[in-house]
Amino acid sequence: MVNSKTLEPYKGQPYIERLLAAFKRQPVDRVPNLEALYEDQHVEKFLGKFAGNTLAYGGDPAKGADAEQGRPMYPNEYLDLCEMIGQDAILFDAGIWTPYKRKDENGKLVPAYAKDVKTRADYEKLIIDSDNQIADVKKYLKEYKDAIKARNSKIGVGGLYGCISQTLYEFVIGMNDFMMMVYEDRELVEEMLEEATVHFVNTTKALIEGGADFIWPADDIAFKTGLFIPPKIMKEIWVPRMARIFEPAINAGIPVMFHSDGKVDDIVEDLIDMGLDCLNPMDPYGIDYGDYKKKYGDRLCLSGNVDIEFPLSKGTPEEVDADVKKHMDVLKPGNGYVATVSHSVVNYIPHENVIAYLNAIHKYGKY
Amino acid sequence: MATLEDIYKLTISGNYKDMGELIKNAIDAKVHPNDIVNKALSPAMIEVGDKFGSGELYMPDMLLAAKAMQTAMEIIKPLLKGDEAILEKGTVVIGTVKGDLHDIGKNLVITMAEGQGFKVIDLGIDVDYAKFVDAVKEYSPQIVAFSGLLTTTLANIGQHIKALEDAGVRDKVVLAVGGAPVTRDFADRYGIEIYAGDASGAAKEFLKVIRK
Repeated sequence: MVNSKTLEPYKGQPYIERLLAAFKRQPVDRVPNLEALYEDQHVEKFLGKFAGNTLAYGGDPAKGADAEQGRPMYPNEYLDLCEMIGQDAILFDAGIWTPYKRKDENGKLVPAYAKDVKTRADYEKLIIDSDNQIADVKKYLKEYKDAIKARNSKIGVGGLYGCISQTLYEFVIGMNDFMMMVYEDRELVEEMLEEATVHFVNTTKALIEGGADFIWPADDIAFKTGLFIPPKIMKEIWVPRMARIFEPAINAGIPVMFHSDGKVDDIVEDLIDMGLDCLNPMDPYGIDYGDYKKKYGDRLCLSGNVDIEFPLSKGTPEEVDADVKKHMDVLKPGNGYVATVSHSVVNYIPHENVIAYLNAIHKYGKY
Repeated sequence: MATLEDIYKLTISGNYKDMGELIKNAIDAKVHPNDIVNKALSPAMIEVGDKFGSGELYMPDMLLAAKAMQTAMEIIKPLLKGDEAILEKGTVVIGTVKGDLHDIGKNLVITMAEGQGFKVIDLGIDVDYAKFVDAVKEYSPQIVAFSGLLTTTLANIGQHIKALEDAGVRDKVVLAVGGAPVTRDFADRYGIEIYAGDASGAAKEFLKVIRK
């Protein structure tokens, strides 16, 4: 009988060195667990009080939440959560949605989420207030670092940010128009990518200077059948820019994790060349994790793939337990595995399955 | 002289800018508009869809090919003077199931279905049960297509179908479903006739319905 009611004690306290060692494919005492996001209802059930989701106290402003409430989760609540679930690091929003803003009718800068940029003239109305956004990154990173120090905790901090192409298709331009613009007005696309890249390179530098333990750039560049854009073009317009976002971290010896949904086969070798340490989430609808372990397991730490649809949402706790074990059997040997779900721990996953998932990681993840 | 093969190739290449002139040349050369659609544009879009499915072509290729076809259709339709219906294979009402905000897959299906000459009524994302019913009553489609990325929201399909049944229109349409986690078994569980793993496959299944 799988315990899906209570979290079971795990081996060892949350400890950033465990996660960093896993990123470098070095021996660890157990497979670390790390999620991009726990949505608010799971956080509330774990902590016994509302504390927002792990990326934003007031919810995701890109999806309608009040931007003023969009600050990251408060540090002590996040640290309490990490200690409960055995997560070695806090991951905070260092600019995950769109850096682009525009002035509203009152002259106030508001996020550009309307997918209405179709021409150069539209683009020229957008602004990235990089200094303000990076000041926030530094402020929140310091909050977390101070709280960790005050508690004498060994939990670490990483920043999630850097969706240079996703911001264009999901928020600024719209999917179809962005895709056609890549062919028809590549100069404009590259200008927009470049402006976001410069901002995110500076974000990386700010994170490193502020003492982040790792960085986690994320940019959904694929769906289940492959990259959205031809690999040749991706290697020209996207790879060199994402490499620049990684670079300050790599030069400082800080591990880099990268996330993209979908089948990313055509870009993995480039990511390895860029110095990537850990690839996430090995989307179960496009990637065979056993195949990735064989192909890349000696060069990359791998992360993710436990499907939030089945077993996490629709399966029983026993099916969750069995699926985690199956992943451990394949991905744990030889080190270099960070247990993560296929996307994020969304509210519609039954909470008992989240508990079963965490207990299974801690049970089967021991070395 | 513009040939059907030229039009076919231009569609696949997504060159909508030169399409207008090519179509005009073909019409001047007495190529029948119906042949342009059925022997050049539609087969070209099938090839684009197949190559997209197999990873030979990418999203921009597919969208530009669709734009090339739309450019051609804008010229062809007025020439048919009341016979536009011969170009319309049928009507598809499509939407993302209630609660689901993901629309990349749905939009690709729309592109491919329109490429095969279907009139597509796009109800958008997070579509209410009643909105599908109202659309069936208003547009009398042959096909109602549900899209979804999340199994949780896809489970709302039961309610969507019940709403169609309660309104007495379920038997007037063929149902289709698609989305990353959707399988043939899932479709069978709800008595949904059409399932396809990708956008091109969906358009081909829609054509089979019309040919029956």
